[in-house]
Amino acid sequence: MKLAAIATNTFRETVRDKVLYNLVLFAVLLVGASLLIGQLSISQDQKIIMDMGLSSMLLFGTLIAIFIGIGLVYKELDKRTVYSLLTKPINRYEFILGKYCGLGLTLLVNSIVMAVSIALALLYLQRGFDRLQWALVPTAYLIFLELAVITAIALLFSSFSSPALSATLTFMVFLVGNFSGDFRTYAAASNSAVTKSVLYVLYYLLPNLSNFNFITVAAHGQVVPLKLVISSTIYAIIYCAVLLCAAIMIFERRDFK
Amino acid sequence: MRRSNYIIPLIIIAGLATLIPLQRWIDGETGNRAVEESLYLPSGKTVKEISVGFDGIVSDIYWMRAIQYFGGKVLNGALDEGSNDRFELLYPLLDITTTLDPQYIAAYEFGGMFVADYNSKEKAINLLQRGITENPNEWRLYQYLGMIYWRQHDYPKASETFEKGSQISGAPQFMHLMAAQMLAEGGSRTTARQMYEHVYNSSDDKRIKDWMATKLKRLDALDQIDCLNRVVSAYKDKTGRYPATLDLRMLASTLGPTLQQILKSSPGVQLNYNKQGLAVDPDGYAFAYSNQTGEIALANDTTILKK
Repeated sequence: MKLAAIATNTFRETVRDKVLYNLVLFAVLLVGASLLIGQLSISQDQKIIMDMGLSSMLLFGTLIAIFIGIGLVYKELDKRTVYSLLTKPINRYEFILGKYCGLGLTLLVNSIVMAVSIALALLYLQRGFDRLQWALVPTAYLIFLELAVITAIALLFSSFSSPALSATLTFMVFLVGNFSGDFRTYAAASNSAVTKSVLYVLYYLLPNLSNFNFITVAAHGQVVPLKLVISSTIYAIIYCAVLLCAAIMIFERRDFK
Repeated sequence: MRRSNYIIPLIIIAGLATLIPLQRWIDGETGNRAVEESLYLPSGKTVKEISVGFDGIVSDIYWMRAIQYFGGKVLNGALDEGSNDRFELLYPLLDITTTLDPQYIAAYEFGGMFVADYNSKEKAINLLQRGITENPNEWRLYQYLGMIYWRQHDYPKASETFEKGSQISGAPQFMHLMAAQMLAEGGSRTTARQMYEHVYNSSDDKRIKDWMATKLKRLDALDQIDCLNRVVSAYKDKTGRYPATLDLRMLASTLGPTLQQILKSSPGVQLNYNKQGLAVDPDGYAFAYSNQTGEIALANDTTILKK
């Protein structure tokens, strides 16, 4: 109950911060692209709408996850509202989880609206439903999961460092997470046992964000297999649980006296 | 001790431990998608514009991706017998690398060797010609280009390319010799051996060295087959039939000094045999042999290149 109250408040706060205004920009981008790209690209307009729409969803979502995520804890500390909050019968873990769920809700709303907009743009171009809309659903869902992981990363960093450093670190993890498959390839190609071990540890320890990225696949009308959707969901749940537990552990040890 | 004090670390440890098998399973289902996705921008010029001044680092990333792509394909059996993999992304990846950094000699060399072998000689020629235009003082690029013309049996063009390369300051004497040899005996195995040996000795790239070593092994195996053919003919001349097997100990005892003469007249060729006495190729696989026709060939399961 307390967790839900914190989550709702966080969601309201992001709405008050006009975070969802990005949807307007997204809609303009998508409508503009729908009208223009059809004339510029030969028979690839639907693919480009999918690519552009899903990539924008990921980009805007990542920016929200990072820049709002890093301020979730810091803002409360900076404004000293955390002191009055924690004097109430609220556990620190409830505070962290509530903040996380609140931003998660914002991202969920954001993702749903964007996915619906893409579907409508496709509908306008195709004059009906086809496999691209089906491919859109799991892909958009997986992007949301990726955003959930990024939010958890941002929250973890913000639990012990400044906003600037948290943003930098989260962005770096985001970049590395998208290239983490390379660690595995390097490890497989390496002859040194030490290098191999280090690279494999990095590969399994860092978030593998490519598990959630099926934009190019979806743009060709291929639906992500259900078993991959399920496994990526489990991956995201476990990874978020690990990150949030680490964030809670750090936050519980902080001295606010 | 509060319950949460140990529950949270426990969740972290258990979570991390679960991620490993889960990620392995996902990898098994998806394979290596990283490189394919990186080619969303197939034009080097577009990538150059987007890289806004970070051309150097972006070219390094594309170079590493090219290597990974190649390595990943090799690990997945693209070089195995019967594989039709044509390494389609290798050329665009190297093209982007060299467009971003036109002085990336290693990328030209890699393409000159492997794009020519696995994808398209024309694309490899195109890449090397661009490399020569950008780096006219790199004799090695002429060497790789000459090698491709030689493999296309265009010996005059190969000779001309080697000759041009030989005139560059620092080019080894070998380039000039190759220019002459292309015209004299371009199609001979001796020329091939000299070519591969020189690339092996002059290249700094381990992958190219390994590839040359593989090709040299194939030449060794072909020399062995030629030598064995003569041994089998000598046996037939003496006994009126083909030997039942390629048992070298049996052949030596039957042919005696004739075998010694054959070996002496095949300088550099060494015949090896396994525990059963059967003649084996440089990788230790017994040669395939038909005692009906006397035909000798590389075994189906050998690791020696077949073509």
